[in-house]
Amino acid sequence: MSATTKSFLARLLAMAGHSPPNQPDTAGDQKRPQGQMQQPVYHQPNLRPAKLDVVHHGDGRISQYPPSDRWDDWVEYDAKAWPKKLARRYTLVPTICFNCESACGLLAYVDKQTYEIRKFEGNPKHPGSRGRNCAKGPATHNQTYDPERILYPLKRVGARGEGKWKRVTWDQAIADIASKMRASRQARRDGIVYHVGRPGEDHFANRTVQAWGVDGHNSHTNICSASARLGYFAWSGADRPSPDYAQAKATILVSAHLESGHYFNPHAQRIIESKQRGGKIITLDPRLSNTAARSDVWLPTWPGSETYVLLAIARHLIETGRYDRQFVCTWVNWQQTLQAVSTFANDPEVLRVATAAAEHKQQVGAWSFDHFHQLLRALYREFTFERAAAESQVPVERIREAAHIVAHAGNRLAAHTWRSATMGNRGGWQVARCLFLLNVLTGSVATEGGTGLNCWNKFVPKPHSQPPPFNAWNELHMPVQWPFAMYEMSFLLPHFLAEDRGTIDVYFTRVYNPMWINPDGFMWLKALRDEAKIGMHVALTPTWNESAWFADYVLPMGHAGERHDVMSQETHAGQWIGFRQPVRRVAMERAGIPVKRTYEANPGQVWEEAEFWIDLSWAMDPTGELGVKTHFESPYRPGQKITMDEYWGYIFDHSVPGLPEAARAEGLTPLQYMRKYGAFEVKKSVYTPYAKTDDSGRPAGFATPSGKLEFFSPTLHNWGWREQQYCIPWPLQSHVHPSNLDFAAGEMLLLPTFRLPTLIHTRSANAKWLYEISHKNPVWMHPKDAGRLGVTTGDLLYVQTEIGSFVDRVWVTEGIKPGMIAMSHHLGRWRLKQDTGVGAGMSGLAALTETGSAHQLHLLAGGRAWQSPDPDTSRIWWEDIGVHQNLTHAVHPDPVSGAHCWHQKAVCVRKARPDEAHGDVRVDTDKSMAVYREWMALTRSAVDHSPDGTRRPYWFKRPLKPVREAYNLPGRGSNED
Amino acid sequence: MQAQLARAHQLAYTFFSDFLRDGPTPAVLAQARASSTLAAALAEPRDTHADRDALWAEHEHVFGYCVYPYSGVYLSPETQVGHDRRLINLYAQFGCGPGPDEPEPEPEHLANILRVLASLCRAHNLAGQQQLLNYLASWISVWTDAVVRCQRPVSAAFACLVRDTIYLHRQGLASAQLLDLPPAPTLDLQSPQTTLADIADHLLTPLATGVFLSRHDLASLARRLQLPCGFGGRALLLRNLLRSAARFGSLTAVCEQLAALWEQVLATRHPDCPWAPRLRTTLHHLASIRLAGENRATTDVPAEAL
Ligand code: SF4
Repeated sequence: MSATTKSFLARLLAMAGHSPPNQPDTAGDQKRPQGQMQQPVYHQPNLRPAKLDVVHHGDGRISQYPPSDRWDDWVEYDAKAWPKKLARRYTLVPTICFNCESACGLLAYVDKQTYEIRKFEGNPKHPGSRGRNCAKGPATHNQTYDPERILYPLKRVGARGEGKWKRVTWDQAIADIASKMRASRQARRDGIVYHVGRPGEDHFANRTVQAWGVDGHNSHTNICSASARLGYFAWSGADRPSPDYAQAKATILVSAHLESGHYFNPHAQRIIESKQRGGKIITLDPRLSNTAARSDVWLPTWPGSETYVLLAIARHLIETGRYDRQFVCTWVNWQQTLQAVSTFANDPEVLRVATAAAEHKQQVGAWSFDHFHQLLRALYREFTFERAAAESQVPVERIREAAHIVAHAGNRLAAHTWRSATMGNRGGWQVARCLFLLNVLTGSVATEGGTGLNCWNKFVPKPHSQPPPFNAWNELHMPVQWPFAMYEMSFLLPHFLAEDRGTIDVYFTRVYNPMWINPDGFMWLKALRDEAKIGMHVALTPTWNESAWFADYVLPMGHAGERHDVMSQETHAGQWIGFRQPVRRVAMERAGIPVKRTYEANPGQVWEEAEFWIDLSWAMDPTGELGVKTHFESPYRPGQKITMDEYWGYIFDHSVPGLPEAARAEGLTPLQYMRKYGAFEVKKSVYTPYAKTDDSGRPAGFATPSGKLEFFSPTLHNWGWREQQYCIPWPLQSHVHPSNLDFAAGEMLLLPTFRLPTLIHTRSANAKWLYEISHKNPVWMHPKDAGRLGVTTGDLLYVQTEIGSFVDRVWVTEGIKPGMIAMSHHLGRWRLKQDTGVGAGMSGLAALTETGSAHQLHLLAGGRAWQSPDPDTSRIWWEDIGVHQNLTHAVHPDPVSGAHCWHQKAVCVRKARPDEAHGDVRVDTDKSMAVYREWMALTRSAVDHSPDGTRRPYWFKRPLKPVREAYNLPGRGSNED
Repeated sequence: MQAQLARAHQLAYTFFSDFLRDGPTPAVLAQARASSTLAAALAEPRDTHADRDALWAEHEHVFGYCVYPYSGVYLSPETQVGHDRRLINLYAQFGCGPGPDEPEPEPEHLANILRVLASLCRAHNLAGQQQLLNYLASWISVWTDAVVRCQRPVSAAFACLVRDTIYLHRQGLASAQLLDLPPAPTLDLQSPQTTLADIADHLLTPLATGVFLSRHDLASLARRLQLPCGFGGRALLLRNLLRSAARFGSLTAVCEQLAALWEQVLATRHPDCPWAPRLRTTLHHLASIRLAGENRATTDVPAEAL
């Protein structure tokens, strides 16, 4: 020790001896007289510690936050300057994350000197997220300061897709777009389309579209959640579940997509809370996801077989008498079922019960619940554990274990399905029906620890005026073939356009990248490029995307800290509302700096949609003759455009119960309260609201025609889906059922319905931290299959689908079942020009080749580092940015729900040949159209099956409902029910 | 010769201070090459952003996240900065304490102490050097051991160099005794009032136990035993670790691993080292906790009761 230390001292001396004579003595303080001690100085902090707000989380963890009374002037050391104590003064402005639909609270730290946003952290005052976020929340900072972001309105100058743009002013863009909208609106009511990805807000855009008086709302729901929605809606009249995870004794997740990839943070924290309290988790997923790995029972079911497992559990409850007879008797339409059973069943045992029930009814004048009990036993008698095990390829004892957990949970069963099985398989909506059957049987509908419905937990306020419903029906969105579509058949838009079913005058894509995210993307490419089909394409987007490349205008819209919206979500069995705010604008206004338009405070001229929609709608109808303008006038200053403060202030004053009182208690107006805290808890808990009675003693019930939970769906039955497998919870055979795959010929199932929780479909490509964590999507393959094909991890794999092929690397893992391959669905971004488009570290430079119906995407280069004002862009170390598999997916519209059934048949999977490169994609769009037609042939059109001459059951939800007359089929009857 | 040595010490302490305070800046790295061990740890070419980032990340990880370079952490029963009055008194004695209007300069930060030591060398203030060296030598080994356990080569080489320089310098001055350690906080394992949190807090107090359990120590222990310990501060990690160990029947293993760590540290200490009795007491405590856990497991007491 001493020798090396001595030589170190000697070398130090020698090095110092070679210093130039005038070099300052780094060891001494030259300003101090000799002999005095040097005082090391760090910085002038002079901070006194503040007592932080402590939040005890349900899972035992503790977090601390700046106390809210200090948010206006918060001082803390700059972490990056450590160990120097560099004190910074912030104003903390709450907002709402925009990176998924959970709407978690964020707290922006806005530097009081520069108005730069230093970071985003969690908002402890937010009842849904309770101060916590997933990785995507704080990554809002990356998105805000992304060096590649679009900062100014751009107008196309070359041919569509040529990639030539010029900067225009907002006024110029608005004038041009508004004039096209005006012309369209004067000519027809279905020429303007607003196509939204994740809305991320609760009413403003819908209200705007309704104000335009057109049937113009188009959503991404049919590639997202349509089947789950139909399943829940047919039961209850509400289209999504809202589990009370934290209080649950048992939780069933049919895949964990929503919990680990979508509503990640609020749900995940409550699931863990329940687990900490001893609750059990059962996960059905062919993939060993993080959630599956943390579950008490993991059931790696073959896709499409989930219904068998769920019905086996249901049978166990029925046979062992562990179901809640009282609940079922009170809230289920069992009498209607008994009445209809002979019209849908053909099983002699079931018919025997039906006959006995009918005779009893005739004799005593009423149905007997005992017969319904017998009916349930007869119906589900063959759904044994053994049968479920055979169908699902899961050991029988695991299924039995799951059934016992459910049976012991009482009415505390939280259950959820959203994507995966429901969206992967044909007939996936029956997975939701069968899953909710377990909630119904256990009586755990909106109980503590049970499963509620979103309509009870999501709070949507009312603005100062609501435009009337329009009288129009857009056949491109809601064609007669899918009367139950939940909702618009958006992913078939290019196929409909190709069939000349219609055209679009002005097409808004709003934070949406249809060409990339939808299946069969080359069909989108053709549609977007065709100016005869889509007259004008306006892309409202915070960042570049593949579809925006084919737009006429690219208009930069703000991220989470750059816009006003209200938002609420069914994160738990309570009710809350959150307020998204442009945080720099709010910070400036707090400092007394007036801001008229949000783009004055945002980076560049990034705007917010709310103000943009107001100006655009105003410009579309300058005289008011179209009846549009009036909905954007101030309720306080007639004839004047409404301001943001007026719009949101009115809502908070008039339509959020309890908020005015809470604000008053703090000496604030409701708007000031929301600007200060960013969220308000409307109801702490909502349990069994259907049992609440009105003045006449009538219970609220459910929003179905019968007012009950509909085990038997008269609606499906009346509209042509009369068979048992459609009108009661029952398995439907998936298009990827083992009998539909020729394993001997090398066919496999391609499962694309999962994603990594750190990414947000196509929105996270401008978040460097997120991309550093996850940037590639290799093909998961079981070692058995890998052995058969002779591939090992890292090898290139060629995968052929029904319409094309792609090449990706393989990852050999036991985390996936044999016979299938899996690939996460949000990676493989590309750009067509070296220096424009999606960031170079997050996308590959690609070349497109098209010959007739043959399309090819070839990656010229992967991700790379590049120089920008952000030094991190030069630190990009990865090249593999994934493969764009969706291009090769054939469209599979479910004949009932209209959902795209994502699972694909991989007709050939083999080791890639030397001339096949990573990222290569080939598609034949003639084949695309052929598969589309095959699936369309499975539908039962309203023209042939509507019981009343309408296009769709009127009670079925649509995002924007037209007037009743619009439901009438041309030349047919009227909808009276 | 004496003057040269004083100059060398002054340069060394200034370099140490700069390294701790400013991180691996190019200027600091240039000086680091004077040490063969540091130079070896830095041997890889570090010209790319990624390499420089890795050095910075290591620096942040070790000195910012895992092993805090503040004397108060090692010498105060609260394990907190700002609780060691003796150092303030020493500074006042040397005439370098903060004036009434001056901002507080974090006197307990090792970088600051070393800076003052460098100044004392420059001023040839031998008595001052002796006192400060005695102060530093009383706890620097606890800090160094914890840094070395982080297994990051540059930081480990650096910490050893700091410790060795202090020891050698002190030897050369034939320094007086080490400063007495403040009394050790106690732990009453027999008391029914003693909770899991109390045990965790005690184990995390170097003044009581002679070991600084860093987040790295806790996380790697949890990883080795495949036990969840969560994220957060040391207290939260250790509480989680003990709770999950009790729940999953691994309390014995956790106690064994902790005891092994204490044994390892004890083996490097001189028998007269003032930390040795505290290390031995802690070993005793760990054995008792282990025994209590085993007894409870057989009587099926819920883990939460531990
Ligand atoms: S869960 Fe969603 S809303 Fe919450 S922080 Fe993550 S991305 Fe944002």
